[in-house]
Amino acid sequence: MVQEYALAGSPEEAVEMVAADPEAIVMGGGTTLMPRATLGELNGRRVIGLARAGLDYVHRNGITTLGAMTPLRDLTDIEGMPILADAARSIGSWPLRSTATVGGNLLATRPYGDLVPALLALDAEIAVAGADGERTVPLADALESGGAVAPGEILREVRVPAIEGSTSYHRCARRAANAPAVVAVAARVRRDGDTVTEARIAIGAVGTRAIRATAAEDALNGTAGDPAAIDEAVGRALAAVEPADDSVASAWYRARMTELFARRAVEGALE
Amino acid sequence: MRARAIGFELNGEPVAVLAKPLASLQSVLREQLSATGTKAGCRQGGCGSCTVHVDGEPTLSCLVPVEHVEDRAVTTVEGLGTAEDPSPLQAAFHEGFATQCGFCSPGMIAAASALLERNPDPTSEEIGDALAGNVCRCTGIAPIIAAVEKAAAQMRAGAKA
Repeated sequence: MVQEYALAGSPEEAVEMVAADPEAIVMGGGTTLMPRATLGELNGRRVIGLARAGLDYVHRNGITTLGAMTPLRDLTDIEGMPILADAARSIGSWPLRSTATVGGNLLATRPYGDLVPALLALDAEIAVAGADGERTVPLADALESGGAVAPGEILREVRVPAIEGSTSYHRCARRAANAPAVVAVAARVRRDGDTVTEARIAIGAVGTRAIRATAAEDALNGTAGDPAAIDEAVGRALAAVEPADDSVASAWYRARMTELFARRAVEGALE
Repeated sequence: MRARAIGFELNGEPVAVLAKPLASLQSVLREQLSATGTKAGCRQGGCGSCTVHVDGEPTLSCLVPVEHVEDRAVTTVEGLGTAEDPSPLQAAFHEGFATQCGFCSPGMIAAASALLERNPDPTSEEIGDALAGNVCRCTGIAPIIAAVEKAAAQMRAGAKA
């Protein structure tokens, strides 16, 4: 049972509070923690909240900087970044997106986290702050190392470099709203003439975490994005994931949808 | 446990409550402020029946700790109109029997009113998108969309929101 909810008043205060009490639960918008708190199942003495910490901002200046507490609502119409807008629109429902945040979506466990493939396809970096200062890590590396944010640290912001190439985001779910993803695939393709020079394919909701399917990307690099290259990329995308059985979908269905939605995403980015 | 005094604006009036840590706005509205128009359905953000406006944004009150609305303006279905003087949306829901059992109506009307403030002439598809997070177990979706369209037309013709 939670004994205290303490709201930080600034980014600096948030870092200080969390660093001083690494056992505290850190809460963003609250969409995943509040149901547990309401049921009396949130086991922690103290919760530190970021809702008033001044981390709700979107800065556009070549790179796009998203404060960790930016509500997903603010991304659904973000100009010039359809892959982020499509990913944000696919999450939850309109009123949920007033509360769910960029940082919360990034740190949530399966079946949540549908923004992550889009951010991976955009080569996003995350800024993590703790007692020893701030560090910037490529999102892909942070996910691979298993713990994007250590106890005593907070996720401060997400930085997206200037985007080059065309993008596509396709998400499979059983209903239009409030339905967890069976699979979500984000793709980005940069071309020189007809030749693909830089491909990104990122897959979420299939295994324990979102991944970049680098072998599938390599199947497109240097090609003209022809049907044979797409087939090879789709096959490698499926080989890169370990589909899991859960209440959302069977592993078998996830695998079939991974093939289909990887194809849609790749073809969409090549269009 | 450290209970805290929280002040906010509810339907235009200042209110203050003494709340336990992480009490949901929904539980505070219903159990401490007797604003029972806002319903408690799934209490996990999945049904939309607790939708209210926080500073004008449609928000699921079951997911919001009351601490987050301190010094903010909350509007519930009670703040949109009364039985004697219903809003065009409330009247259209009533007249078109878009209510059926009525449990989802406060959330539907809160979400729909936020939609009409932003988009006075939505297509039925846009209405469906805006209300996709609000679940109706009577499956009365068609009359609900018709009621929103009717209210939108009346408001465009000059009826007050």
